[in-house]
Amino acid sequence: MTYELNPVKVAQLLIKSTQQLDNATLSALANARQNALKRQSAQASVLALTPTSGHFSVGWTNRLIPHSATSWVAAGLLVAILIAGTSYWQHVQEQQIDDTDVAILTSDLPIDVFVN
Amino acid sequence: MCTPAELSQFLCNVERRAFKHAVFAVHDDHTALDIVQDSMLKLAEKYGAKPAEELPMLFQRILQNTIRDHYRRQKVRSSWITLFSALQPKHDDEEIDLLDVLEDSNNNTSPLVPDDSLQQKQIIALVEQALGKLPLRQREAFLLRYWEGMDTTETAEVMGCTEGSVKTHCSRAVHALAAALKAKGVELP
Repeated sequence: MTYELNPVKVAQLLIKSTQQLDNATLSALANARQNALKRQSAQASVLALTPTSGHFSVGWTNRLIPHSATSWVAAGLLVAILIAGTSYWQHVQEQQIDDTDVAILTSDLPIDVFVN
Repeated sequence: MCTPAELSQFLCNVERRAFKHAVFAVHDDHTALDIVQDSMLKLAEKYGAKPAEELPMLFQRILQNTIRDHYRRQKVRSSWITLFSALQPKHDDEEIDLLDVLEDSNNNTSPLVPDDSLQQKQIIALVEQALGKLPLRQREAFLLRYWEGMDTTETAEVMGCTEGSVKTHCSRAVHALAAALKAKGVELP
């Protein structure tokens, strides 16, 4: 024979057990609550200072703008690498064109040019 | 958006139950307090701007995830401890306490009869012990459904599973609790 358990009675007992928590625990919980409330107000003030909050497209542009010194340095490095890469690629292209021009002028074109 | 007063009221209402949820899961008061504090901070920081009626579901989800994160960290930590403890010499004989094995066959005094409040405390302790021994998912489902008063859909959403799974977990939890309490001779008043 199985013993029928009423979950509501278990819940009632658990409620009683929460009323028997010791003062140290209650105080720790109250501290945790106060810390959380401080965090909420801090977060709210940050949101209030952000002019683009709540607007999707402007919000995304806002995310793309670096907000810290590290982000600025990283963005600067990225831009420098891009510029250096592009100028190197252009230099190589110009060099190849120059070599071809010289070869055409001196009639010294390699055989590959005439194949195909 | 919920006001600081609404958030404060919500946290005040839920904090004791949240603490108990965490205690059942981790069996340690200090760790449970840390988990509740982390959950409160996450709720306030990430969802402090949500409407007040959404807070219970969000908080329960955060709490359950924080408990699971604790389990994961504990698992990693215990695997390292196991690895290092295997390298150390064992001293099993030092851990035996003679009082644990001492028999007192001549003691015929009857045990003290508890009064009602003490008896209730003992019953609560046994119920909590039985709850603490339930598998994680069963306990989550049971507490969310019957203690937090969530319906099956809400419980399923918090637990990240189907409503059918919630019903199965709840049913198994009730049967397991009934069996555990019956084995201890406890009948709920």
